[in-house]
Amino acid sequence: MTALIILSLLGILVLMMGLFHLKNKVLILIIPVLIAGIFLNANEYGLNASYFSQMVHFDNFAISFSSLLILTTTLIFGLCLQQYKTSKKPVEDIYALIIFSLVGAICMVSFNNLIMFILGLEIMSVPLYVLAGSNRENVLSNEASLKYFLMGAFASAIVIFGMTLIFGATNSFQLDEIRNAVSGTKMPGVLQVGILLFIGGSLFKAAAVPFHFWAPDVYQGSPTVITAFMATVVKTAAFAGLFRFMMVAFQDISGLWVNILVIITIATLFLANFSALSQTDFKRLMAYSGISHAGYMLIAILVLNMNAADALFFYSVSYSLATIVAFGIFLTMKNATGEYSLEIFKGLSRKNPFLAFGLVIAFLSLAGIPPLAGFFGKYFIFTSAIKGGFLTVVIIAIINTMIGAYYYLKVLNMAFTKDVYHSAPVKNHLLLDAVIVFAAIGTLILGFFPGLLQGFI
Amino acid sequence: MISLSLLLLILPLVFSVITGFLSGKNARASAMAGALINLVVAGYAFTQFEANTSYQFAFLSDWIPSIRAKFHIGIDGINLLLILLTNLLLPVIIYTVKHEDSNRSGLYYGLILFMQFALLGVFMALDALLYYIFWELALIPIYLILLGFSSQPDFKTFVKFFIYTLAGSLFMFIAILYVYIKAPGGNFSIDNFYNNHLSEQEQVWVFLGFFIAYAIKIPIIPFHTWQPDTYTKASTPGTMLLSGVMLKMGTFSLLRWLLPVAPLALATVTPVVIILCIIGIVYGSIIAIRQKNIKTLFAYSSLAHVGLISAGVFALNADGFNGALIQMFNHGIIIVGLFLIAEIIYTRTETYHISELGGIRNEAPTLAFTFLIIILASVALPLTNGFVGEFLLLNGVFQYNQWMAVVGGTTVILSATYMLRMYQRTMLGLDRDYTKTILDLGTVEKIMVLGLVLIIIVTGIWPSILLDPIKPAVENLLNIIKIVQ
Repeated sequence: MTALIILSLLGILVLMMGLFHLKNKVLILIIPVLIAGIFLNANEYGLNASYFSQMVHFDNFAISFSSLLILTTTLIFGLCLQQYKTSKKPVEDIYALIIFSLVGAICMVSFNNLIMFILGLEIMSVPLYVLAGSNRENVLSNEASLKYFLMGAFASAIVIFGMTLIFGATNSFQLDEIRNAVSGTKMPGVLQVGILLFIGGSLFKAAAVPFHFWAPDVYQGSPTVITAFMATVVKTAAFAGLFRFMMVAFQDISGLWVNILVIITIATLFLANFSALSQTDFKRLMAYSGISHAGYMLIAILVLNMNAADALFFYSVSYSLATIVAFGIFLTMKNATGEYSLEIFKGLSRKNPFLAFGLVIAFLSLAGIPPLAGFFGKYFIFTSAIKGGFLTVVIIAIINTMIGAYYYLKVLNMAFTKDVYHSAPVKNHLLLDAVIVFAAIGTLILGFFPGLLQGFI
Repeated sequence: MISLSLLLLILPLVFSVITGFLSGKNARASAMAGALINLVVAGYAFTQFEANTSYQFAFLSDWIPSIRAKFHIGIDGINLLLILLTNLLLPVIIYTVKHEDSNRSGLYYGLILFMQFALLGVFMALDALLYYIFWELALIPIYLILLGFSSQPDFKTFVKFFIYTLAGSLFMFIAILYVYIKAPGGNFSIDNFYNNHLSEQEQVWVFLGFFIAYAIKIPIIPFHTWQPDTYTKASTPGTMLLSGVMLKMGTFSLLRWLLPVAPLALATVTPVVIILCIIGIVYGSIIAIRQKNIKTLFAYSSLAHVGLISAGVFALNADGFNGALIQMFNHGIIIVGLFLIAEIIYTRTETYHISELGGIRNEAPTLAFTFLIIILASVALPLTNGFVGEFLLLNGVFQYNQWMAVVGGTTVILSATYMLRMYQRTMLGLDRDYTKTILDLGTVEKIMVLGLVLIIIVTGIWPSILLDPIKPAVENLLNIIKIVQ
C-alpha cells in the first residue's frame, strides 16, 4: 500500500518536473524511488492488510506480484535511457505515464472488489493508449495507438458487462461475498456468461487467442520500451488479476468454464507458435512469443490452486527477466542499425560477445531449456497441471515447447553466423548493460536455485 | 573434506568461467590446465574406487526443497569408466582446437569445458531432475560450438540436431514427471525411481518416453538422420565431443535409468529394440563402405558400433552389460583417435576426401603406423581394446538369440572392409598431389596419438583393470531388473 501511494506521488511529481526540461535526468529520481518502492512493498509481506473498506487486499499474492511489477518497471526505466537519450522532445510525460500505468497494474493484482479491478485496468490501459502512440511522427506508432485504443475500449466494455452479470447473479462485487454466493446453491445461467465475458476481456490485455489480433501490430508500432512494458508488466498484471479473481471467487465452480479455457489454452499455444515460426521482424516475433507464453500461463489458471499460484509467479518472473534482456539487446542493435528485422543480430557474437551471451541466456530461457529460469517456470506449471489432472494439456504444451525452440534458435543462429550484418559499432549505455547483467544473472540464478522464489504465495 | 565427485564436477565449471574471459594462448593454456587437473583428479578417483555396489565419493545436499529434489551425485561401477573417459578425452579435444580464431577462442574453450561439466553431471547425477537438467544443459554448449565454430556452419543441420534431441528429451521429461508423481516416495531420488511400483502398462509408456530420448541421442535407427550431417559439418572438436562422449550419454542412460526404472516393460519391447539395433549395425556398416569422406565414414562406422553396444544392453545379461560398459569406453577412445588422425591429415592436406589422399605412409610412417593400430582396434582385432568389448557384446547377444548374434557379428567383417579399404587408399600406394609434402607427427601430436594407442593396447591385453571395478555394479543392476521382473 505504501508503494502504491509513493508511486502515485512519484508519477505526479515527474509530470510536474516537465516544467524544468530535465529530460532524462529525472531518471535519477525515478529509479531510486522505484527501488525503494520494491523494498517498502516487500516490507508489507505477511501483513495481509486491507484498505479502503476492503477494496484492496495486500495479501502475499498481491505483495509478490506487485513487487515483481515494480521491479520489471525499474528495469524498463533502465532501458529508457538508451531509447530516449537523443530525444529532442520532453520525455517526462512519457515517464510519468509509465508510472501511472504501473500504479494501475498494482491495483489489478491487489484488488478485492471488482470495481477496483476495473479501475486498475483502466488506470493501466489509458496511459498505454497514449504511450503506444508516443512516437508521433511514426505512422505505425499512430496506427498502434488507435488500434490498441479501439480494441482495448471494447475489451474494457466486455469486462464491465461481464461484471454486471456476475453482480446480477451474486449480488456483490466483493470477492469473498461472491464466493459465498456461488457455493452450494444452483446458479443462474447469467453467471456463466458473466464469467466468460470477464475472462475474455482480461485475456485481451494478456493477448491470448482469440483476443490476440492487436498484439503484433501494436507491439511493432509502439516505441520499443513501451513494447517491453506491454510484454512484461501488462501481461503479468492481467494474468495475476484474472488468477486472483478466479481463485478467490470461483475455485469451487471451475467446472463451469474450465472446458472453454482448455480450448483457449490449446489454441493459443498452437496458433502463436506456428505464427512465430515465419516472423522476420523482431517485435512481431516477440509478440507471438508473448502470446505463446500467455498459453503456458493460462495453464496455471486452469489448475487454479496454491501450487499454480506459485508456479504462475515463478513463470512471470522468469518470463519478465528474459524478455527484458531480449528487448534491451534489441534496443542496442536497433539504435546501431536503425532497423527492426531479425537480420540485425547477424554476427553479434563477433562484434559484441557480451550481448551475444545475454541473448543466449534470454532466448534459451524463453525456450525453456534447463537450467535457466524459463525451464523451471514451465516445470512448475506443468507439474501443478499434471497433479490437477490436465495431463493432455501438458503434453500439448510440451509439443509446443519444441516448436518454440525453433524460432528462438533462429535468432541465436543469426547472432552466431560468420557474416556480419552491419559494420556500425554497437554502443550501449552503462545503465543498459547493468539491466542486462542483472536480468541475465537473475535468470541464471533462478535456473540453478529455483527454490529461492518458491513458497512466497 | 570436499567429496571427490563434487570436485570433479566443479573444476571444469570453474575453469570454464575463467577461460571464457581469456583469449588467445592464455585461453588455451588455461583450458588445457583445467582438463589436465581434472584428469588427475579422475585418475585418483579411479585408483581409490572400491569394487562394490555403493555410490562412492557421493555428495548429497538439498536443492529445491518444495519438490523434494536433491543435489545428489556419486560414482559407481556404471559411470566410473565414462567419467574416466570424459576426462581422458578432454585434453585431446582441447588440443585439436584450431588457433585461427584467437579473439573468440576463450569462448570456444570455455564452451568445451562447460560441456565437460554438463557431461560429468549427466554421468554422476543420482537424482532424476538433476540428471535431466544436466542432460539438457549438455545441449547448449555443443549447439553453440556447432553454430559458432564449425568449418561449414549450416543452420538447417544444426537446428535439426537441436530440435531432434530436444524433442526426445521432452518425452523423457514427461516420463520423469510421471514416475515422480506416481512413485510412492514422492521424490526424484534414484532409489525411488527404481522402486516405482508402476503397473506393466504404465512402465511400457514410461519406457517409451525414456527410450525416444536415448534412441535419438545414441542414435538407434530410425532416429539417426541428424547424425551424419552433423558429424561431417561440425568442427573436429565438436565431432569428437559428439561421438566420443555425448552419444555415450544415451547408452549409459539405458543402463542407469531406462532398464531399472521400467523393467516390467522389457519383456514386451526388447525384441523390437534389439532388431532395430541390429539393423543399425548392418545399415551403418554398408553405408560406410560407400563413403568418400573420411569424417562421414567414421560417422557411419560409429552408428554401427553403438548399434552393437545398445544390442548388448538389451540382451539383458552380464556379458552384454559388461561389454556395453567396456565398449563405451573403448569406442570413445577409438573414435576420438580416428577423428584426431583425420584432423591431423586435414591440417596438412586440407582435404577429407579419400580419393585425394594416398601414399601418406611414404612420407609419414609414424602417422601411418599409429593410424593402423587405431583402425585395427576399430575392427576389433584381438589384443586391442575393441576386441574385448565386441567379443563380450556379441557373446551377450548370442546368449539372447543366436541368429541376431550372427547378423550383428557381420559388423566385424564389414568394418574390416571399409576401414582397411580406406586405410589402403589413403596411406598406401603412390603419393598424390595433396600428400607429397606431408609432415610426420609433431611432438605434441605424438604424445596425444601414442597416449591413445597405449590405452588401446593396455586395455586390450589387460581388460581386467577396467572390468574388475565394474563387475559388482553390473551384477547388482541385473539383480534389480530380475527381481522386479
